Formats: sequence, C-alpha cells, structure tokens
Amino acid sequence: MPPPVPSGTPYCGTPPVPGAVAWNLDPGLMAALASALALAWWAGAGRGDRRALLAGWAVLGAMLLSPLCNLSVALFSARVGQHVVLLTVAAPLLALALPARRVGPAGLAAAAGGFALALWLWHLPAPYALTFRSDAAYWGMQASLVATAAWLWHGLLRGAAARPEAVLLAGLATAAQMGGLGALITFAPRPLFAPHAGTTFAWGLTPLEDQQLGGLLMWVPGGIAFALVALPALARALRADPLRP
Amino acid sequence: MDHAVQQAAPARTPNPLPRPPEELARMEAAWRMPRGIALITEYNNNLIGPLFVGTALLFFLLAGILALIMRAQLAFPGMQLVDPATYNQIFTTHGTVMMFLFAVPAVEAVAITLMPAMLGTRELPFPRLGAYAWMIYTIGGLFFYGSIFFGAAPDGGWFMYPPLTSKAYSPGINTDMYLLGIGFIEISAIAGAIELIVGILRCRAPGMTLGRMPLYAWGMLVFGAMVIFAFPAIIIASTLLELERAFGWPFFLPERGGDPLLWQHLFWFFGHPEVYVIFLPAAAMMSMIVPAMAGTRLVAHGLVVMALVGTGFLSFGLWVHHMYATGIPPLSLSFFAAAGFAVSIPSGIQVFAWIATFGAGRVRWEVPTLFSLGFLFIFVLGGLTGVMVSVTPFDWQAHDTYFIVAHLHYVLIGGMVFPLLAALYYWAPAVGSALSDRLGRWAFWLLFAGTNLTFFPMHISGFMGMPRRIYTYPSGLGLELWNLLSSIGAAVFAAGAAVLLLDIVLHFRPGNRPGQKRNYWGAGTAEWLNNYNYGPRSIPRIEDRYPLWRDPDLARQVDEGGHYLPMAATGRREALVTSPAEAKPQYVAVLPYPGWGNVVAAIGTCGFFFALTGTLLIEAALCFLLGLGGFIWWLWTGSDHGPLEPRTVDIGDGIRVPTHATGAVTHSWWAMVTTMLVSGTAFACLLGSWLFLWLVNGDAMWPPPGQGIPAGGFGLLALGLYAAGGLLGWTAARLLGRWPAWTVRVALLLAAALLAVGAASDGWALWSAGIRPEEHAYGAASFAIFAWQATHVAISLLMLGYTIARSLAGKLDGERRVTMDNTQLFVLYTAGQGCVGLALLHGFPRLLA
Repeated sequence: MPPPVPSGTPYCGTPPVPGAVAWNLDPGLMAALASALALAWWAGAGRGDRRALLAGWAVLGAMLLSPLCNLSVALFSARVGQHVVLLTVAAPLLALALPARRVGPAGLAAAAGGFALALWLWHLPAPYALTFRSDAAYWGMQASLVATAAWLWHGLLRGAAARPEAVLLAGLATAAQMGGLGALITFAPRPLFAPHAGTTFAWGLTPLEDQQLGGLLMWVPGGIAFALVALPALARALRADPLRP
Repeated sequence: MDHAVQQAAPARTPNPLPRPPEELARMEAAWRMPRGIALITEYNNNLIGPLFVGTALLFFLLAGILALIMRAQLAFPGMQLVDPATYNQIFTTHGTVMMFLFAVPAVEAVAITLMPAMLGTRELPFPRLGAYAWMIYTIGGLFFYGSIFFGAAPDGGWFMYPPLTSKAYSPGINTDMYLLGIGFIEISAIAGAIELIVGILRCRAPGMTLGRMPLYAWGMLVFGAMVIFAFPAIIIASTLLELERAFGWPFFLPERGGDPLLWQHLFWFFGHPEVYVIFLPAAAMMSMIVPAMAGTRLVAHGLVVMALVGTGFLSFGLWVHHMYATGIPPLSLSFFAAAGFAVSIPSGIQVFAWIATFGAGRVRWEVPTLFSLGFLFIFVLGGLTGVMVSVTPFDWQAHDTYFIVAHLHYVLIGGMVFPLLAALYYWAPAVGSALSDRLGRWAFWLLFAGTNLTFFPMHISGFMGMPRRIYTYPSGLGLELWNLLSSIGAAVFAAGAAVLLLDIVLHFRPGNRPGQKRNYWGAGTAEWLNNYNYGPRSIPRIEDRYPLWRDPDLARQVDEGGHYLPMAATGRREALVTSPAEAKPQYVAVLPYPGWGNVVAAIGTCGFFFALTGTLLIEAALCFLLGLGGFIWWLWTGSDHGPLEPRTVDIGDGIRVPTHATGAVTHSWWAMVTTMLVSGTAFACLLGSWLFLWLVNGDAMWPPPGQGIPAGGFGLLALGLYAAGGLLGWTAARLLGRWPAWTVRVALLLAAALLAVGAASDGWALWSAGIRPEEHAYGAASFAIFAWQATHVAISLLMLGYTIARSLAGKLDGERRVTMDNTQLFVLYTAGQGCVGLALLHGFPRLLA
C-alpha cells in the first residue's frame, strides 16, 4: 500500500502545470507491482499465457507510474485516457494470462454487469471526487475497474469458442453502456467533477472542454478499441470447423 | 481453408434409402394447409413469406406514388398541384413509409421467406409470431397510409423533431398518427427479429456450425441484434412524446426542464443503426448472390463476417453524425468525423470481397448480376457523398439541402433497393417460378437510369442552396433545369417499377412446379434444395459452407428422405432444434397447429392503437380486451402441449433426441431471454433520459423546488417486496414437479401479491414526496420509469395468473412447464428492473446531495 500523503493532496500529487508533470515514484506501488508479478508468475506456472502476463503487467505499470497519474489530477481527460488503456489494453492482456476456464452465459452476464456497475459508479461526481480525497478510494477505483474488466475480458476472450452468441451479446451490451456513459459526459452542459474546477486552464482547456474530451475518449476511441479486441475473439468460432485445430 | 475437399463425401446417408411410403403421407398430412377462409390462420413461411414480401413491395409502390406527386409538384417553379400543408404530409408519409413500412419489413420478409430453407430447417421456431407480425404490419400500415386521404397524416418530417411536433405547434391528430401508428408497427419488427435470432441460432441443420453458416444468416443475425438494441429507443422516444402531448409530461419542453435534444439523441440512437439495419441484410444478400453468379466461393468469407459484426458494433456509437448542426460541443465533431471514416473500412472490405469474387470466377451476365453491379455503382457514390457530409464544415453547408436528399437516396436505393431487386430475381426460382430475363433487363436499365437521373441533379440543386422539404421554389435562381431533370428521372424510375411489377404479375407463381429446374443458378447453398410445405423432405447433413457444391448428390439424397428426421415423428409439425455454435441436434420441437388466436390478437392490437390515436377510449379498451383474449387463446391452445409419444426419436446417423425439452435448452427460453433484452434496452433508454435531463437541469433543479427526493422508507419497502416477489417466482419454479401443485399455486399467488404491493409502494414513494409528472421534467422522467416498471408488474401479474390457471386446468406439471419457466424468467426480470429503477430514483439524488 502507498505511504500516507499530506491530507488533502490526491494520491497522484498536486495538479501539475505544463512542463512540470511528475513521474509517480511511489516505492510502495513499485514494490506492490513487482511482488504481484512475481506472485502471478509463480501461480501461473504452466497455466496462463506468460507473454500476455508480462505485456499486461508492463502496460499496467506504465499507466500507474507514468506522468499520466499526475496529469490526471489536473485533467479529467487524462484520467479517462489512462482508464481506456487500462481497460482495453492491460485488462485483456491480463485476462489472457489467467488460466483458461469454461465461461457460461450467466458468468458472462455477471461479469458484464459487474464491469458496468464499477464504470458508472466511479464516474458519478461524488465517488469521483472522493478518489481525490482518499487514497483508499483511489485504489478502490483502479482495482475494481481493472479487476472487473479483466473478469469480463476473460469471459469474452476465453468463452468465445463455446458460446459465441453470448460473447457477441455481452460485448455489444458493454460497448453500448460504455458509449452511453461517454455520451452523457460529452453532452453534459456543465462541469460535473469538482476536483478539476481550477486545474484545467493551465492546459488551455476549460473544465467543460476537458470533460467533453474525456467523454469522447471513452466513447469513440474506447469503443473502437473495444471492438478491435473483441472481434478477433470471434474469429476462432467462425472457422468452418471450430473443433479442428 | 475449408475449400479443399478433405475426404470423399460419405456414401452412406444418415437414414437408409428408400424410405417407407407411408412416412411422406404422414408428414404431408401434418403440414396440410387449412382450406377456405381458415387459410388466413396458416403460418407456413412458404405462404406468409411471399405475402410479407408482396406487402412490403406494395408499400414501396404506395410511397413511390407520393414521391411522384412531389416530383410533379417540383418539376417547374411555382406549381400549385398540392398545397403546402398537403406537401408536408406527403413528404413525411413518403419518408416514414419507405423507412418503416418498406425497408425494414422488406428485409425481414425476405428472411422469413428464405431463412428456413437456407438453414435447412422445416420452419422458424415461432411461426405464429411471424404471422402475427405480418398481420399487424399489413393492417396497421394500410391504415397509417390511409390517413393521408383524410389530411390526418403526420407532417413533421420522418424524424419528427420537437418542438415542431409538440402540442403547441402541432395540435392536430397528425403527429399522434405517427407516434402511435408507427410506434406499434415497430412491435412487428421486434417480433420478427426475435423469431429470426432464435431461428438462426437454434434451428440450423446438423453440422452447419457458425463457421459454415451462410453469410445471409450472419447478416440477419446482426440485423436481429441491432433491431433488439436500437428499436426500443424509438419506441421509448415515441412514448415519451405521446405522454407529453396527451398528458403534459414535459420531456422536451425547456420551460419545464425538458430538452428537445433528448428526442434527437433517442431518435438517432435508433436512426443511425437503422441505416445499417437496412444495409447489412442487403449486403449479406449480395454475399450470397455474387458467389453464385461468379460460380466460385466468396473471397474472404471470415473477414466479411467480421465486417458485418464490426459494422453492427460501430453503428451504435455514431448517432451524433446526424446532429452536427445542433450546437453540440465542437470538440465532438472532429471525433465523429474520424469515427465516420472508420465505418467505411468494413464496408470497403465487403465491396472488395465482392469484386475479388467476381474476379476469381466467371461472371454470368444475368439480371441479378446487373442489379448487383448497379448496387455497387450507386452505393459507392452514396458512400462517397457520405464521406463528404461526415466532414463537419461541409456538412454545415450541405445540411438540410437537396444534397442530403441526393446522398440518402443514393445510399438507400443503392444500398437496399438494388440488392433487394437482385434478390428478387435471384431467389424467385427458389420460392416459385423464375422471373423473365427480358423484362428484368428492361426493369434494371430503366431503374438504374431513373435513379441516377433523379438523384444526381439533386447534388447540384443542393449545392445551389435549394433546401429540402419545400413545396415549391421561385424561378430565376438557376434551379429549373436540375429540378426538371430530377422529375424526368422520377418518371423513368416509375416506368422501371411498372415493368418490374408487370414481370412479377405475369411470371411469378409461388410454390414448386413439377419439372421445374430446381437449382436455377447452380448455387451452392441449402435453399436450393427441393422445398415443400414441410420444407425439405429430410433435414440435410451440412459439411461445408456450400454443401451443394461439395456434394452434387446431396440434393437427391435429401429429397428422397435420406438425411435427418425424414418423418413426422409425433405426427405433428416439427422442427429440429440444434446447439447454437456447432449445430448438434438437441431435441425435436413440436410446432403448433394453425389457429385463430394470433389473427384475433393482431386485429385487437391494431384496433387498440388506432382507437387510441383517435382518442376513442372505450373502443380502445374493447380492442385491448379483444387483443388480450386473442393472445391468451393463442397461448392456451397453441403452446406448452407437454410431452408427446414417442418420447425420443432416432433422427438418423444413430442420433436419438427427445421430442420434448424443458429449461434453458428450449427455444422458448431463448425467446424469453431475447424479449427481456428488448425490455432492458427500453428501460436503459428511460434511465438514460432521466440522467440526460438531470445533466441539463443541474443539481439545483433536480429535484426542482417543491418536489423532493422520493421517500426512502417506501423505496426500501418496494425494494424488499420486489426482491421477495422475484425470489418466490423462482421458488415456485423449483417447487413445480417436486411439491404438491397447491404449494406452487400459493407461491405464485404470493409472488403476485408482493410485486403488486411493491409497485404501489414504489409509486407512493414518488407521490408522497410531492413529485408530480406534469410540473417538471424531473417528475416526468421519474414517473416514466415508474410507469414502465408498473406495466411490467401488470404483465407479471397476468402471467402469474395464467400460470395458476394452467395449474388448475391440469396443464402444468414437472414436465409440462414451459409456461412456468417463462413466467419465472419474466418475474425475475421485473423484480431486477424494479430494483435498478429504485436504485436510480432513490440512490442517485442522495449520492449527489
């Protein structure tokens, strides 16, 4: 767990201005990431895909340690960008590193529901603002989003061969709800997220523009990235004889 | 690739040949159509399908006549053929009928006609639902079209934007005619989509894995999924606007917290996917016709499937396309311009796959080929202007001009009408007799020339600034020549349509005739097997994407009964249900006999909505009861017949399957889950509307002064009651067959009571907090969510009562339990939906505070 910070300062530091965005040098987080990799490497021996584990871990680490962490204190759009990469790149890679297991329609529905719940909850104004005041809330957000996304991706990527129709449906529903949230944020006529009230001007954006940029990142690149990862999962099911290698 | 023949086709057929002679007679008897007036109760897709296609073509002609009136009016400046008010009704009806009564039903109709044969099945799983869908569409559509003769047709443009369509500016019946008249015909589209989704996933011939499934089935599967996710939005939008007009609930009125843009978001959330709902099935038809006409397999089959699915995905994110000029954030425009370009990738993949297939084979210059190439030419032009209008600054210039009229007609005629006509000429010999080659060529060239002559000049009149939807224009602006050319083109197009109609009337007769050359084009897919009232003589074993090319002897084997299920095992109409991915046989589904229930239900449904349009409340109530009675009669006599003898049957290849199934494997369970997805999408639209209006109003006005947050105590009570009601419904299903019947009835009764009291508590929580639907959008949106939930509770009560009645009548037990399983699913859904609604209405404002 990260060390305590002066009260009132978000985990990722004070809102930066251009040219002064800091790396996250939290030794606790680095130690946690390193031990998580070691643990997963050891636990996944002979089961999951280790290349995927390494790649997913690298993306996860880059998103959490890079200046994006600090920038996301100033800009909502940076936070969304961080999440888009975490949820559509890191999470599917980590899901591939999990051991293969049969996933039924009920499991997929639960995963899609869990991910939707986490995504919407952390983008409501009050819980969002809480992540700037409480480190526990910040880590609760990151952990719940990445975990539910990996859970969903595990179902989408691993369940496709057996139940492609359920995968198609869960994928479509998730793309729709993510797009719906992005659309609501994009079209909101006023700033919703109090922590960014005075932090965006240094970056040449009004809080509303920053918020619109965030909504659009979630909606358009997020949706396209989602489709790009989900579709190849179907490719295997589409072979004339899916049972033949 | 599966192109290579891996092994010699096995000589042994799944069932030994020859077949005993009495087998065929028994099957013919089961599938014999009723005679005389009772023929209208027949649901066989061989009858309903062509009727459905014919009805769609009729609406094409009817809407086309309106277009001709408009072109006559605009042929010269200052014409007085029709007055402005009538002109408004004509263009609105033209667009509405073309989109809702021609394009969507036509692609569904072709699918209902062809899909069973293409999947190698006898019938789709819910044929009476298909017949019901066709009936409400036909009756409702004709009634809707008729409104134009009484000046009662809608006149606000096919997308019906408020505030123009609000009560203040459109006080007449015209807008209600659209909202109710078209709104309920969407039920038909959704019913057809459910039928097709379950049919495609569960009724494919054994061995037809998803990878071997014909592309047309893929296209219709994506079509079905898009319909169930997109159409609820237009139903919700229509309902909200009608609630505003009839009861003053202000969803779209800014002075009371509403927002007209909410309509546009809901409408285009439906409207943009709608474009692909029309185009994808047409593209999938091309992917069937092109390989047959080129005499070779489709190039890049897998990529084309991905393109269909990918387009479906992308289309849901792009509705803002249509709203560039509404003052939405400028930043979003660049994103959507870029995303708009992305959609051209999957379309491009398909176009190149067709061109490559033509290149790989030897092209036969038949009529379907001509229409296919005509489609490519016109659609690509429409696509190019589409790329132009997705460039935002250009769109601001071209918006609402004739350039847009040209663009959308190029896309729709190119992307839908030409493929449909190609399909008509291509598949006519599969359904009945072939059409004339000579007349077909005439029709093609007239239609092709007519389309380009009508719509190409509109690009130019649009550039010159001619706005769309004007009833006339002054001379001296340089518009005369282009409009005259367009009008001449429309006449040429009409001549082409007349030749087409003549060809159909002269040459098309449904049904097989003796001595007819069956596989007319030498195609490779299963719809070219011999097809009778009962579908194919036996259900083919599929081992390839193009089974008839792989094994030229297959047609003979199937037709002599050598493949699966060559008999009526239970002596009734049957279909073989297979697993969704690998098409392994699971059970033999027994289909209902034709009956009057669905006919009465269709008449009642239409009567109800049109009586409501005319605010004839007593008549509406009577029609409602009539329709409800029809539904119950239909269900009571036509479903859940219980196990029949023999309990299992050997369908061939030593595969023994049951003739009765219960639980999650049944097609009825699948249809119920699909229906719940429709309801869930509609509910999500309501939740989204509530959140959108909160964003527009701001925390200080949400709730507005004088109205409070819903009373938490009653909310918690409702939450508990819903959960308990759902749990009891679930328990009743577990008790059935294990415990005495009376315990099941008590559990059902208790579940009904809990849900009813829960709904009352849910509503009282709103009312007691001073929330009123008429005063402010907050109350309107909150009560809309409640009303939706209350409707579901009412339906649950009906289903619970019906299940109790089945139990009392001795028609419900551990094996005969489809009714119970469906009721249980719906009750669980209702309980879950109620809890989500309560979480938003009660939890969200408290989270803000």
